[in-house]
Amino acid sequence: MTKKDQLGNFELMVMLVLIRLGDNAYGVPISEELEKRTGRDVAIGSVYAALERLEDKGFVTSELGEPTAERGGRAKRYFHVTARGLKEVRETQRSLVKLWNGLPELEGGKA
Amino acid sequence: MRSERPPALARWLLTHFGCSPNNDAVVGDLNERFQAGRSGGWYWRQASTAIWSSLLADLRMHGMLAIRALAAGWILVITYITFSRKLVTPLVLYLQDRAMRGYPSGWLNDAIWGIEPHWWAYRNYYVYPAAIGAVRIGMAFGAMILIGWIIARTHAPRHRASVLLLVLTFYVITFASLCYELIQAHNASGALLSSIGFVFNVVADSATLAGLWLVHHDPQRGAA
Repeated sequence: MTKKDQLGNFELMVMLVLIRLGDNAYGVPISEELEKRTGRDVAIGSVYAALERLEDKGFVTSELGEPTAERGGRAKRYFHVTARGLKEVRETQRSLVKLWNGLPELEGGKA
Repeated sequence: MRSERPPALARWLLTHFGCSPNNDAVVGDLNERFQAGRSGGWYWRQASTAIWSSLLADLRMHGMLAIRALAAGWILVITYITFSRKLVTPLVLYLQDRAMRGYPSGWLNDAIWGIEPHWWAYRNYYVYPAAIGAVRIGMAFGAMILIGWIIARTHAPRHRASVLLLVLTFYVITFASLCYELIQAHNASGALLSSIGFVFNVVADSATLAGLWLVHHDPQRGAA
């Protein structure tokens, strides 16, 4: 795994949201889920920048959906996590859990 | 009262200057969330962030192409400035000198022009210089549009990011020139002239974006 393949913080959050949303993962529900889970406003442009980086790394794929009138006739782009992307998320999770374990400052803290 | 349509200017800017390969989907997503109840101010913030983040992402992924676009753009600008100073300015001054001849003499000219010498002065001291000034401004704008068009045509499909980056560097240099001229200005009228020149330069720099728009709407190429 090269340094380029590693997941950044925001990229990891986007990947987790993609896994959570399943087949309905396009820009609007992705950004809404991120805002709901983090309690912060999310820029849709930043979400797409992260998704494009992830697609470039081979961790997600995308496909065009149907255009709708509420979107001004523009199609949705749905994103899906690949097997390689899922494997990368699991490895990142293992690394983070190992780093988190045994830190007295973080044990018993409020979520 | 909230409008039913998203802010037209913000949508236009995002449609034409968003650099993401998924720009169409970004515009669609913002439209969808706006229809769901978001404000115009929210739309503006999102559109501005989308343009900026897509530009940065594109530059990060295609750094060498961006450097090439910058180099090519600045070479074209310097070439135009040199051409303008060495060839066009002497030609313009020659034509101006030919046009602004001395007051014509002779009984026929006296009969024709003698009644209205003010018209001759008005023509030579106001009309001709204004016309020549308009031609030079037109040339400057035309050159910037052409430069934008050339950079956009030669750097597809990354043409938006290439031209936007070039225009940003123009703005930086123009602003730096203003700061320098304001420091050098000795009085209020000098500062005012520098400020007027700054506004003109910013408008001329922005004309480069028209070249990008022309490529975007090239009927042979199809909308990009």
